[in-house]
Amino acid sequence: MKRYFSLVKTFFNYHLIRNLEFRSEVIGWSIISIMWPLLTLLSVHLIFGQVDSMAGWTKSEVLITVCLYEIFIGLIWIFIVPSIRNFTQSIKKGEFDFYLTKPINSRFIASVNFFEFDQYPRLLMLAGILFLFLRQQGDISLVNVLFGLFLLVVGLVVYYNIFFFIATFIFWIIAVINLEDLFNSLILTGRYPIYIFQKGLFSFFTFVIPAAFIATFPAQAMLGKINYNVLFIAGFVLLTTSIISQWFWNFALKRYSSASS
Amino acid sequence: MRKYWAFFRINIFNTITYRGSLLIWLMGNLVSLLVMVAVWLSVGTSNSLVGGYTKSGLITYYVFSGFLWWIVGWHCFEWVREIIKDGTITTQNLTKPLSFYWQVFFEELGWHTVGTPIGLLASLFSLFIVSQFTPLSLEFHNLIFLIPSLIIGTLIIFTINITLGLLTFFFTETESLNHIIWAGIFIFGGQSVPLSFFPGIFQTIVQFLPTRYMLSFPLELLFGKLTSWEIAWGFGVGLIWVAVLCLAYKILWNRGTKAYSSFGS
Repeated sequence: MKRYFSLVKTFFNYHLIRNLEFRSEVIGWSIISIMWPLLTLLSVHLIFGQVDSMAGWTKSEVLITVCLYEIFIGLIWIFIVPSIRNFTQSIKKGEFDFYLTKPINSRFIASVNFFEFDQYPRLLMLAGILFLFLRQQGDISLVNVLFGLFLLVVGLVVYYNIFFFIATFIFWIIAVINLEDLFNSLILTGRYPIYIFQKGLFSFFTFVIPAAFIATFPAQAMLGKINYNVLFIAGFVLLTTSIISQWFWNFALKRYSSASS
Repeated sequence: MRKYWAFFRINIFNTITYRGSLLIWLMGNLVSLLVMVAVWLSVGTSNSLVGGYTKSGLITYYVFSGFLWWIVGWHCFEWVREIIKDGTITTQNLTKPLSFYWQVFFEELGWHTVGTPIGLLASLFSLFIVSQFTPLSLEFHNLIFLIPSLIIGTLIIFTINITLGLLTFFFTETESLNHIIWAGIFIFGGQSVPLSFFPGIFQTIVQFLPTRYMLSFPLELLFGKLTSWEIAWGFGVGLIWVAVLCLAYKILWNRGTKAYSSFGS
């Protein structure tokens, strides 16, 4: 276990130094990463300039949901997408052998080999905005906020499993260049309260593509509008996606033949 | 013209080879449409008109917005940036008697020749699905004006893309600039909400931005939201933007190729 932590630390430090070398790039991306959530929040503001509610949710409740959605994206782009993107590129370039020949779990190394640092300003800004929105709601307890954050982390792990499952197809389909667009499309369904979808789609986006865990459930938890039964759904979705993702990874690995060696 | 035709044909084959990517974009297009349709079906409002549109009209707006995006959504920035950065531009373009602008244009056109019919099919399917909400009656004169407005929109998006890409001649890292275009279209181009949602003075300001002429202006024409004077004014402003951007391209190309140095190729 100590070896795994040490590896994460090494990768993290390496990419931190790399990012500090290309400061102008990091600054540029940091500005972009701040701009997008602000524009999304502005679009919600414009929508609510015309309507009174969305799926029964008030403007401030929707803004909290969108804020959590943008935080979710920031976390995904720090911890999940860069490594998965690097892993898929290593398959294309025939460099994946370097992962396999190391005395470490190959999935682990494929999951934590790359870190980006341009999303931190976005997270800091959104944390501040979320705090202000929650304060406007008045009676918000710390327990509820922690429960919401816990559900957000559950959502991150679930989407890590889903993204990894999709990325594993790279062993067979090399000619896909815009995997990140696919990830963005999958996350997009969680931008607004999931209750905007009607019955069938609502179930689909809760159990099949669990978009409710991106922002809706965390927002409901923070607002104290959800009961703890959601933990059963969380457990079910977490377990199912973990098992399927790991099984598919093992299945694909057995059929992998390198391009370089 | 024949030499550009070759680039057009090559990119048609490329697009077909990388059809997986095309399908992913298609999926993204449909998912964002699904989300916006769900949003507008779920909103509660006491007004019959929302920003000048009925609820059904707004659903139609997003279906057509998704389709028109397949026509005007040109993405050459990334490719231009890449070939300048890795030096490929030297062998591919600088040493050949070709106009870089038209070469990239025809390559992009190749992609759209494959992508747009697929987008049209997806949009027709979406229209069929939401047919109960789509009261749009297309009028002949709206359709006539739509085509030149799409040409202007395409030229604006394409020229902004290629011009921003040329900044790679001067700066090593320009990747993030790409997002300025997409963010601009998202909020000031009518992609996230119609521009009529903007309050007072801001609505006047967005009328002058190039982003309006990329997507919103064709949509406003399609929905018959503009008077004859507004149509003429819109075309005038759109054409001015095309001219300004072409000039910016020309200046950056001349200065960039003089300042550029690559090695190994």
